[in-house]
Amino acid sequence: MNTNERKSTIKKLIVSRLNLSIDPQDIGDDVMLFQPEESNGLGLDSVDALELAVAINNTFDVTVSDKNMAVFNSVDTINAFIENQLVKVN
Amino acid sequence: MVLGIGTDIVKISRIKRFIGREGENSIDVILTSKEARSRKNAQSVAGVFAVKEALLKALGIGFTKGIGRLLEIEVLNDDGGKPYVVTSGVVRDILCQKRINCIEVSISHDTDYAIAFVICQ
Repeated sequence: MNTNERKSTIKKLIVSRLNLSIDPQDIGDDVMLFQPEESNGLGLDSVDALELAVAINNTFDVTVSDKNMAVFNSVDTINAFIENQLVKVN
Repeated sequence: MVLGIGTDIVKISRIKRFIGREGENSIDVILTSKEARSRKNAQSVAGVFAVKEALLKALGIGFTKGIGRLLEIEVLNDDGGKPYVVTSGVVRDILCQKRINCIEVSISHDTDYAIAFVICQ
């Protein structure tokens, strides 16, 4: 899976797991997921964070570290985290 | 002296969906094994999650220190059913730093919502 495919999968995961009524492609790579919508974020909350963490872990077979919740800032940061984990494994 | 307050409201159906979708093991990120023994339904899990979130808010950290902090806050019930909190790890350290030695907890449910209120003294 290349970077673009992975980002697309992450966006689809965000929309499907969190029941969002938006098109995955409309989520910008650098949109701040937990910023309020008024600030051009996606407005996710703590339950969403929980769902997203478990979904990312299960889908990509990685473990989100407690030491770095900044992983969830945006699609870009989630993707970078997964890439970094894959490099470590290989 | 009140050193912090926190409140949180959780939609029970979201917790139910989360458990249903990710499997029963997903509950391990919210509940300790001790909590899991007495929390069998989504309403109860939502109440516990709300307490943990409320306490993290009261401490001013939210999820910034990681979702693992949820497991450092254990919500149990005394013989009369009143909820109380037992803490460990980073959460315990922050409580000590802030000189908090008493945490009062209240949980309520109605239809699809669970709400919790926490006072730190």
